[in-house]
Amino acid sequence: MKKILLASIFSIILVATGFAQDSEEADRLIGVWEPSHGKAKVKVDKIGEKYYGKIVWLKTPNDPETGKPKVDKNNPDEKLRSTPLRGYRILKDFVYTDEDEWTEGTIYDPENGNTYSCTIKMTDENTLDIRGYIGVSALGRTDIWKRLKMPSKK
Amino acid sequence: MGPFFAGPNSLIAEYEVDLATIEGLENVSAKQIKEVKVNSIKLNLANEEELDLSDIYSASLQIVSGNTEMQSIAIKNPIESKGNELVMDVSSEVDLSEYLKGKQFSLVLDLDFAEDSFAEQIGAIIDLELTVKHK
Repeated sequence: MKKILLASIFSIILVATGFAQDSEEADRLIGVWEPSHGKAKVKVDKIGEKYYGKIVWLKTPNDPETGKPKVDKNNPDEKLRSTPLRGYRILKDFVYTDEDEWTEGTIYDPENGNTYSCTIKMTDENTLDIRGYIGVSALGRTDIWKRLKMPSKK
Repeated sequence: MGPFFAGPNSLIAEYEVDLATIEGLENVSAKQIKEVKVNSIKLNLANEEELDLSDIYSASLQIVSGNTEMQSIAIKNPIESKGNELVMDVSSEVDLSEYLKGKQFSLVLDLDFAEDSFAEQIGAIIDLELTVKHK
């Protein structure tokens, strides 16, 4: 027999903190990256043992229709469509395997509201092959992302 | 951990699941849980002296665990409240059952700061009210 109950409120305390322990080889993914279209910059962080990338910069931060900061208006969940795109995690749940590859993650395309399976391959320290696909990896598209470097001090 | 720069800043909490400590679920085991929906989420900033909600454009809340993917569960944008407490808009689709059946999950709260903040630390309390279907 199914029962339904309203669980009383429970509280969780959150703080700003360092995200996770270091793992030198896997943590090379951490940093700020720019997709080939140049319309956004994505910062990769680690939460637990997985890697996540959120939009930290948009070439066009405001929606031309509203004049307000862009929101995730194509989110399949109507209740979440007011989520700002700046700060949105478009890369989720990546796990480092080996040989410069992070797998088991997803990439979200805010322009159509679709989420794709995704693998990340680091071809050199400053270049990523980001492959989004549906079903099998052969049916997909690869984009090249470049690491943003801090200007060197003179 | 401060200062905090304008733009998105993340707060995180790891929660050890112990159903016996959640009011209303004391006598429910993980195996009995069928579906968990979010009724409401209340956010309280814990830094009332250094920071209040008028300093923050938006707040979004995600949940993640080692065995399950990250999901967005609530958003508030724009934040029009002042003070320290607000009620977030919750997803009606997300099912938290896999998180409550596991041993641990993390909540990640993204706060979009209007300006730099020189607070040394920022904290928040999230109150969750859930509807649980179980055997």
